[in-house]
Amino acid sequence: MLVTVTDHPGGGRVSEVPTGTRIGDLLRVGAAPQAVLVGGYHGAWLPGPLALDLPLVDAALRPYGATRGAGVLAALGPDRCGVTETARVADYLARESAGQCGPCLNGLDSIAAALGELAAGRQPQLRNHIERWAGLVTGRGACHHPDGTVRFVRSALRTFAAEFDAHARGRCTAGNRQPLLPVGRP
Amino acid sequence: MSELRWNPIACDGRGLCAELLPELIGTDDWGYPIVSAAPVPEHLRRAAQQAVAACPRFALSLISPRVEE
Repeated sequence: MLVTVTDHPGGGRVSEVPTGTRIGDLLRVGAAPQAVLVGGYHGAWLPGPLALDLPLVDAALRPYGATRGAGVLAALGPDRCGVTETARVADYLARESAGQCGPCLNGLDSIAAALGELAAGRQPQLRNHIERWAGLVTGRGACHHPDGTVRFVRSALRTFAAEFDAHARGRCTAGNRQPLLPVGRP
Repeated sequence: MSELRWNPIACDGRGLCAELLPELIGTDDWGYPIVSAAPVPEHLRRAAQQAVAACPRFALSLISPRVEE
């Protein structure tokens, strides 16, 4: 299968690998990643230590809420902020809504705006709203763009729970603020 | 027994359906209907037909599962 691997800004190399390759063997990061995004922007963040040992097959990924999806992997280094990266991608995905269905148009916008506030260390109460809005969006579009976006956001709430806690106290633990994941126009 | 079907593309969130059939239709934070997937019980059938007829966007319909597919 073809995989696209991003582990540094501007990265994203495409290679053909056997299905079932260990995810850790596909990444070239110096330090162990804190998290790996598996399946692209409609995929799921998995904690680094868990993801590295998983084979790239859906049967092994599904129990953790992920699939191979578009074959896109991104490794988030330990010096980066998963909340900030998730907020940037959620904003991109909200802008990518076709705008045809009300729950997607309004819901993704609300979720993305809330993640932006949390990333900036503001309005910690919005974290609870995101989970509720995620429920209101799921399965209520004519396509699955809202479902995939919510899968991605929910995986971030799980995987970066500690970082969300830090942001709720108004601080970000990341030392490296350079954006990692590409989101079209910023 | 028939079921309600909602077309999210056609729907503009005018909200008439939720007013006419609150037993089966709620609204989300943005005013769009949350339509029960359960079969429409006989005593709500008329109200369901009214909700379908009232939608200015033709976004709500009553379908019979037997006819479908």
